[in-house]
Order: sequence, then structure tokens, then C-alpha cells
Amino acid sequence: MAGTFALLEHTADVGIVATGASLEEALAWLAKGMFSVIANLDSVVLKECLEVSLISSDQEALAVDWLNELLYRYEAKGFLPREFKVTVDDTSTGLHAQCWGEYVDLQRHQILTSVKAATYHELQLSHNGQWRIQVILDV
Amino acid sequence: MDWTEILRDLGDNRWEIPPTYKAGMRVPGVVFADKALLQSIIQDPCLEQVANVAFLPGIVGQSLAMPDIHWGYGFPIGGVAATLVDGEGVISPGGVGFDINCGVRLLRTDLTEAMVRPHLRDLMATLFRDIHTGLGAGGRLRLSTGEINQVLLQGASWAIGHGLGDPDDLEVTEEGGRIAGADPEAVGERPKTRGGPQLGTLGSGNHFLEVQSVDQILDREAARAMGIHDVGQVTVLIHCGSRGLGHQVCTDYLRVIEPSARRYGIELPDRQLAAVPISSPEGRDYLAAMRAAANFAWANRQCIAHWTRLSFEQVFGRSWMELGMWQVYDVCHNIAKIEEHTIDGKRTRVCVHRKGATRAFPPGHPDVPERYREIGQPVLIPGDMGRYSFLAVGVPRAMEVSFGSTCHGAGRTESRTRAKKLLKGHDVQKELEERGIIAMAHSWGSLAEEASLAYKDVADVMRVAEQAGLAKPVARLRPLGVIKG
Repeated sequence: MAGTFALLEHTADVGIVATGASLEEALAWLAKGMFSVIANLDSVVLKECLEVSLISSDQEALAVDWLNELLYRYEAKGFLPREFKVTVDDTSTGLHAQCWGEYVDLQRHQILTSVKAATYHELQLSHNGQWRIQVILDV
Repeated sequence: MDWTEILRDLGDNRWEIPPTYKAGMRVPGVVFADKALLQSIIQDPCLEQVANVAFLPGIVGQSLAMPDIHWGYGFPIGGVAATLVDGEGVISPGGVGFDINCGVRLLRTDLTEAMVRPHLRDLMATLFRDIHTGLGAGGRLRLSTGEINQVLLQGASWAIGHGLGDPDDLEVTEEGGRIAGADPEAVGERPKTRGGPQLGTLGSGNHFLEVQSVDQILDREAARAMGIHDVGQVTVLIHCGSRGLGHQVCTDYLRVIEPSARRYGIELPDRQLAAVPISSPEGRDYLAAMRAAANFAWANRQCIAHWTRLSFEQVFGRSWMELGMWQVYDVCHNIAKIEEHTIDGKRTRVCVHRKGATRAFPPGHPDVPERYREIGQPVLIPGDMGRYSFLAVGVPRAMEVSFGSTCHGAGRTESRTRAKKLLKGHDVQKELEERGIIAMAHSWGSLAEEASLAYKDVADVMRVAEQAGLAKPVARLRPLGVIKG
């Protein structure tokens, strides 16, 4: 999957910048970026697949809502994914995704940070050859 | 952006952002700072946010920035804004924050530093064991949804009813630890699933429990009224909020309110500032859910305070009452409250958003507990874990200039990432110990991120707050031991 993510420094919090050849790839890297902040993903085994669907008010909100949906699944149910396959609908305001990972096991998994939420702060989504998404996380 | 060209010096440590600065500002912005603090404030994107808050429909007075201001989500942290309840006034979840009712509680004791020092390591280890903190930590309580709903309605009094504290604690908690108008239905299912199991936990990040020694008494009479008698007296400060429950309430409501704002014709320069009329269904639901989350936070601090007392009992072999471990006060610093203030000579109901700001009511105010009515409402202002915190009281001038509000703490200057970079190779825990502070945390990172170099000096913040008439310092409290997530 072509693309990448990087972490931004930001007083008090953390930002993720994800890129991809498609919006879907960028969203997948965005999610991977967030979970790399939450936990050391090296020890996460791809045991289970969770399906996620959501609709948002616009493309930018979709990026934020996507992360918050995954965050909820992790915080509430303990699901820790590290691989993602995302399909975005025609309007780019809805997505369906498959997320591979496993449920948290504190014996094996190293949890790094607690994330409160993905925010709209300095939210950026652009398409210039490749897709680029920036989201700031409240930690 | 050269803020020094834009800001107007109003005197008394007040600087104005004129409403002409940005088209759409309904009122001016006002920043409480001295020249020195202003230098660090203008390096931070927060002043733009102060100007943005001035766009809120129904805002009255000014968009205010406390001396510990720094950038936040929508509202800056240290932001205060009041909107009219009647008419077009809005409520903005960003004006409360993700951590609804993040706040501080102070307990006093009859112990002295000399009595505690020989047992300090044992005490901190006991607290670290008994107060669940850190990432992935579950709570000590297992609650059904029905019980969580009770917590959301009853706040701290739920905990008292379950033997986790003393009824006197409620007398010295803001809102009695239970704000009316909470609705568990408005909270919905997700926050309860996410945060319910976290009741009674401290969390991580900048949350902490600190055992302290009174370092300086600056107002003897006010200190005595609060049970603070001598330098060297031991106190305990607890800083935490509504955990995942509050975070999820904010996330869920932003998702609804953000598109709704546009439907109500509310145009704002920042999506994170999303707001709806207080009288709208979304506004009313958010207010009811926010109040429920606030109650959850008060129940949380109540449980933690209770277990703190039990830890002291274990280490010192006496009951907490014999140790004199009574509560001084509990304040929230992330909340929106409907209050009456005098605006243009008229008593007016407003929704006061305090985001990283503390209520600070003056002597004589009916909402100040009777035992403190002569001295004013206690205000708790934590600093970073390497330096000190302040105990203060509200003063009359704050009612005129800041809707009875003041600062909440030190304010960050460095990102978590940068703090860790700067401290690479440092044994933060050992360095604190060399200065007489025993710190216990679950990771090196959690200490490094919270080191003194990442924060403003709260003494500067307190001095400016005092000079601006926002609060009066009563005592300075120095850390002996701290536990963190």
C-alpha cells in the first residue's frame, strides 16, 4: 500500500499527516498513524477483522469521524488494529473498511498513549497528485 | 502576525484585541497578562483563537483569555466566554473541552512534612497501588448501566451514598459535586461503555495525585479558614476529570453540533468552535449530557479522594478523621455553567464557558460555602510536578472583569514530543528525587512529558492573576510525592 504517515509536534498534543495515492490509502495510513501513537504495533497479530462503516457530513469530517470511530472501538472494546483496507463511496462522505488486528492483551501489547479524540483543529485534506490528510489528536 | 502591533494596552495587565482585528468579531478579546507573559503568549496560536471565540452569537462582554492561556480545540485553554441564555446565545462544546469537568480537589491534613518524610516512599507506593492510574488501567468498581446512570445524576453524592467519602465533602465541592439538569439519556450509550469502567481512575497525561507540603502562607486569615495553619503542613492535591465518558460525550456532540451549526446559520472561522443556540434541541441535549459527564467527574474525584484517605490510614495507622484529612475544596476548570452576572447594570443570565479556567467567586457570594463566605471561594491552581501549586481565593474585581473567573494552572510551553526529546537520556525520576520529590509513574515518557521545562512557571501566572484582580493567593504548596499515569 503506497503512502505513509508521519507524526507532527504540537504543543500539548500530537498530529498525524498521512499520504496516499488514493483517498482510501491516505485514510488507511491515517488510522495506522493514530494506532502507532496509541500502542507499539509490532506485537499486534492480525487475528481478527472488524468491519466499520460510517457516513459523515463532508470529506474532511470523514477523516475525523473515521479516527474517532476506531478510537471508540479500541477504548470501549479493546480492539487494536494495524492494517486497514478502506473503500470510500462516490460522494467521499461515507466509507466502509476492514480493519485487521486483535483485542488488547496487556501482557503482550505495550500501550503508549491515551488519546481523548481526533479533532477538527488544523484539519487539512488535499489532493495534489497524492492525497494528504492532517489530523490533530487530543492526548 | 505581529500581535504587538494589534494588541491595545488597557492597563492593569489587560490587553485588548480590538473587534476590528477580524471581520465577524462581535466583541473585543481581552488577554490578562503582563509584558513578560505576553511574550510567550504571542508565540502560541492562542490569540487567533481568542479572536475566533468573539464570533460566537450572543457573546457578551469580551472573549477572555486567562494568564495561562495556550492554544486548544476551538476555544483556547484558559478561555472564558459568556453567551446570553435568552435570545441567540450559543453553547459550544469546544468551550468546555473534551475532558468535561477536568478539575482539582484539595485535602488538608494535620500531618507535617517531618512526620511524613520517613514514610514517604511507602505512602507513595501505597497510593500508586491503590489509585488506579496509567494506560489500560481498569477501575476498582464494576458498575451496571443502571448504576452508571445513577452516577451521572448524583455525581459525588452517589459515591458518598456508597460509603466512599463524607457528606461534609459535598459542602466544599463546587455545585455540591452534583449539578442539576443532568440527563443520562442525553449521554447515550457510547460514553457509558467507554468511560463507565474508568470510574475511580486517575487517567494519564497531565493528571496526577500529589502529596504536598505548605511552602508559604501568603494570607494567614484565609488559610486558617481553609484549615491551613502552618508551613510544613501536608496536603493532597488530586487533578483529573471525566475520563473516557466525558471525552466521548464531547466527540459525539461535536459530530452532531458541527453540521447543525451551519443549519442554524452560524458561521464560525474554526470548525472546532462549532456551536448551536442554547435553546435548540441540540444545545439543550449537549448541556444535559455535559452536566451528566461533570457529575461523573465529581464522582471520580470523590472515589479517588476516599481511597487516598484509606491509603493514609494504612500507612499512618490512624483513621483519616484523626489525621484531619478534610476536604478544602474541589473546583472544575472545564465546564459551561448558567450563571447570573451584572452586564451593563442589569442582572443577566448567561452561559459561562470556562475552558481551562476556574470559577472564582468573591466574599459574600451566595454560591460560596458558608464557611468560606467571608474569605471568598477557594481556588486551586496546580503548577507542574517539579515546582509548586497555589491555593487562592476569589475577589470582587473578577466579577467585573472576567465573569468571576481566573486561571487554572501553569500552561504548557513545549509539546510532549519535544519535552521527551529535550529530556532524552535524563533519568527524570532520579532528578526529581534528588530534589526531594518521589514520583511514581507507569512510564518514563509520562514523567518526561510533564517535566517542569514543558510548563510556564505558575508563580508568574498567579502573580499576573493577582495583579489583574482575578484571584488572591493564599498559600503556596510544594510537591513531596506525585503519582501519574
